[in-house]
Amino acid sequence: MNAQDLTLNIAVNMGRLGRWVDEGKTSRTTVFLEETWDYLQELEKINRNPRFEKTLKSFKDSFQNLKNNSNYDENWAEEALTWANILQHRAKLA
Amino acid sequence: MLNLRAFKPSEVYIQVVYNIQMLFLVEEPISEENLKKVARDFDGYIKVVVDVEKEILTAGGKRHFDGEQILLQKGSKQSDLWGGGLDLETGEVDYDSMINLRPNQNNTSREVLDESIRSIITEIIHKLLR
Repeated sequence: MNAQDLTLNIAVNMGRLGRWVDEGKTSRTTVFLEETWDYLQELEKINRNPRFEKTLKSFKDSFQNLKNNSNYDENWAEEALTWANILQHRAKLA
Repeated sequence: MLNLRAFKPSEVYIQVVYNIQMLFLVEEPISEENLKKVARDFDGYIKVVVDVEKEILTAGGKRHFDGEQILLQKGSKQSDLWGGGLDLETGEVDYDSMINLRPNQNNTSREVLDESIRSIITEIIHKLLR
């Protein structure tokens, strides 16, 4: 996958995670967090547009906080959904 | 310690809360300086809550809920408020927020489903945040 595809896959996963947490369905959270982490690591290894670097760093910081926070409340859900939107917009810049 | 500055009345500075969030009530076109401030929370992406009747919005912060509460306190009707976002990097507007889930208004999604409401939201965002 190229950088745009990986970014869109991450965006879709963040959307799933945010929706599930908002609905109180947390059973698959760990699996999808791990898959997203794998996408993120793959994304860091390939060529990317320099214009995307700041977004990637901000997302990685936020994602690590979410991954380490198992208090799946509405704030967790909203942050995940917000990054889903941002990454969906910015995949074209990756 | 909060560093409260003087803002134009049209750009009422609402609060600096935990995590250094910036949230503004915007009733007239925002200044470039304050646009940069509200874009800080999400690296150039601005969360907005728009009152489609009063044609005002809140910009910034990490949760749409906070902006919604400010507008409700200012007298907005819940049914007129819609959440979304503006990405300054790409110029795109989205209409996605948990506050938009309102089955009693036939909006059964986090996205605003009504195209005419989307158009109004876009118009207000472009008018006040550009």
